[in-house]
Amino acid sequence: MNQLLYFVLDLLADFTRVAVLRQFGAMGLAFGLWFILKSQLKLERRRWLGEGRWPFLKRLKPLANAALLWLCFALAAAWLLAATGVADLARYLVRFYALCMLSRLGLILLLNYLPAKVVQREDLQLVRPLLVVIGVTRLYSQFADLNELLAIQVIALGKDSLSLGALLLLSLGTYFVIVGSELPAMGIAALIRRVFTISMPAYRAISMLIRYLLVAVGFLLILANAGVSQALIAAVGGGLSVGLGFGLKEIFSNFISGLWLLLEGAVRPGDVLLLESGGNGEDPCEVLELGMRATVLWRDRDNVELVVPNQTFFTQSMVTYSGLRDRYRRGQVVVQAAYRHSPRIVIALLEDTARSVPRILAHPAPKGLLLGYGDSAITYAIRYWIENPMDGIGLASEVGIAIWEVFEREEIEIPYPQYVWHQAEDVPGKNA
Amino acid sequence: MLLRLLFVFMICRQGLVILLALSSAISACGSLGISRLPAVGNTINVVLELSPQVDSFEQARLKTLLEQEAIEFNRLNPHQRVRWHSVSSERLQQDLKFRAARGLTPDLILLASSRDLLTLHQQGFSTPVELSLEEKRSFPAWLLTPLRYRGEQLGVPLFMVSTMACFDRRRIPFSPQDLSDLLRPEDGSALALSTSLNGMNWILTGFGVPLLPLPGRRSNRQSQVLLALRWVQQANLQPHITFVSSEEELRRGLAEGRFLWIPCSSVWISSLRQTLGANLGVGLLPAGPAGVAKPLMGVSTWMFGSQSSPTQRKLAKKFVLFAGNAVNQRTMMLRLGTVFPVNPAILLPLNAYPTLSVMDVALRNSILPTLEQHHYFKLKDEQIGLLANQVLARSQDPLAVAHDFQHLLENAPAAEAQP
Repeated sequence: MNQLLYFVLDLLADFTRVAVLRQFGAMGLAFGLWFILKSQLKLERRRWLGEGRWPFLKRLKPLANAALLWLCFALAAAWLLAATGVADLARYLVRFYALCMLSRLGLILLLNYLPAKVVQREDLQLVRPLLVVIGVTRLYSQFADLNELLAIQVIALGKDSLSLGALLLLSLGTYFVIVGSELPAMGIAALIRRVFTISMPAYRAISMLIRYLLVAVGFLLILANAGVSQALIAAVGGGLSVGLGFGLKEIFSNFISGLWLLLEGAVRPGDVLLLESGGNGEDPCEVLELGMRATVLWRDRDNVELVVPNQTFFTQSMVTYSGLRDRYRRGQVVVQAAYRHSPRIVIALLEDTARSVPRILAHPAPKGLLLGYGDSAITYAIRYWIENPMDGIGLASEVGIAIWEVFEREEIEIPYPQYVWHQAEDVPGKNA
Repeated sequence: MLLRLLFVFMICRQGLVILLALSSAISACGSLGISRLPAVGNTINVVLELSPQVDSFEQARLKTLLEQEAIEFNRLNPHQRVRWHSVSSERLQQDLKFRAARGLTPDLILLASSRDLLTLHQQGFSTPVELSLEEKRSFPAWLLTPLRYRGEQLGVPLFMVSTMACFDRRRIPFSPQDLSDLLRPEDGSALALSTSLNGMNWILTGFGVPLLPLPGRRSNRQSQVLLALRWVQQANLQPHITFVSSEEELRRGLAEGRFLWIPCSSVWISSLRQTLGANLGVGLLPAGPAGVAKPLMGVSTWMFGSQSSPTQRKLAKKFVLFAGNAVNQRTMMLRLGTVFPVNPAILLPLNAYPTLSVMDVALRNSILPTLEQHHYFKLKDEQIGLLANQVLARSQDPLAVAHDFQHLLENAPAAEAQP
């Protein structure tokens, strides 16, 4: 702790120099100037020239004040350089702020090609942490030798040791490879999709596989660059194998299951599965994401996301509506009609009714069936095909309502249960 | 969460305000000499120049010693800290330029020799230091004066390095006493000489060429220069003598057994002794017809950075004086054994250490150029090398080269003091 305190104090000592103070003072003045200009110009609120003609200008508005601040900083740094010749700390701030602004601009542009959710995720998980890492390391290297810091040995294992640089590369590098591989993987998969015209679930599966591949290659490169010795890898591998035997077994099993499912194509993002939902029967769920440990499913009924461990799909049988053949699903509504109506008429009515409901496919055509003769009524079923398996329950409801309306109009009775009571002739006391 | 906080701190405008306010407050405190927080502003950055003429073994020893000195200084001054950083000679200017552009020139730079001090000062990296009479007592005047420029003290010496003769005792029992002995081949002997200024100057002085003219004593010594050049030419014809362009090659050659006798710097002795053990012989450089050889003296010199805060400047001076005090100088000499202390108060154990005794005589024979002379010869380094090669390759008549050489020496700035 003392070392860290001294480390900070050593760095702070550099802030006591007049030349450094002058640079930060100039930046402070630039900040003050920006504050005045910002409140006077109100760039983010006012209507920009050409805003109507070029709609993308509206998207850039949130960057206006940041750009103004950057301009103030840049002018102050340029003035300081001309006046004193010592301004590289100020220029560093200008460059770093420009980098931050460019990253925001990049994200705004990405919104044209990617869903807002993906862009937001990339911003939070990749761009901001990356900027922090760049900012901190570059700032440090302005004051001291970064390579010297990174060369400090932090972990010693026998004859082998791990430097701070290697440790950071292993931790931060792995994080950024995992997070940063998403966009390139999506880009490559999109290219493959365009060339080979593959389906959306296949595209997502390919994207995921490419991502795993990038992560694997990235991790190998990190290991090679970190200079991790074979002995250390063996030691970590040994520890990992013990861990796999105990606590990590489930995680590893889920990871391998996920990888296998992707390769096999049995469960892919975009697929619709039938999931047991306790006493409520079965619910169709869409696969949103096949992660390293678990699969995220979306259930339409209550708009929840279910996180199901990957190995569940390996150990249990699953019903999928979107397998290899197609995504069509057959739905069915069972209804009863009184004995006095001709089955042929009822079946024709049912088929016509189903055909009239939107989103029910004309081919294969809806099919009405007589299922059986009950105590009070004849049981019929109307079976039809739908394109989106997730619409099953909603469409069944729509078909049911349409049948009721048609039966009402055509005076087809849906009978109540009917019972015929008979009294035996020789019951004692009948003539009493 | 931490990352987000850091991000907010770094790039959000509120974060910038806090950062600017904080830095301004700290800067103001330091600049005014107010350091209420322990050690804020009381840290100095010291850069150690790693010269290629000092081998890596000796560099490591020197670094360790100076780090220990810094630790000792921190122990005695708990709120004051010394932060070390080493840079190779090739990267020194680049490193200083990088730091100076940010207002972060090191507070102290320990130069391997005073050779580049004036150049660095003229580039704006250094500031003169004022020493009181009391403070000057730690350093002999003859060492301080050559480190002055236009009446200002640009550097303060830390230790001295001498040039001697190193040889393999197994094949050469005694070092040749004069230059004519060098030309006489011993059985299987292999000698090596350097064509650099440092490698040639002692030969020239042996022939009576005043390499560093004293004020008002400029004289035409072309005949002596001619004699010296003819000797060099003759030496180059000897099969047992090799001329090399780098001093590092000399050291490596002796360690690897390719050469049996070389002119060597005292800082090579430790690593050579590691290789040759007790077979390493150390002696004085051979004298010439005009007298003893007078090699250039190496003085490791402290240079004060130009962008320090007043507190840091004061602290830097305190550390320099600490390193120059008798106790530390003696410790340094005994631990390294290859450098000479600058503090005149130290009594050298010459009888106990024969090598030290040879070093002492070698140092007494040495000459110390002033900063201007160093600067001049640095500028003429390439020209001197070219002239030497012309002599060695016999592509020019020695008489013509002697004329050019004499012209070069005549134009050298006059020395103000000699040891």
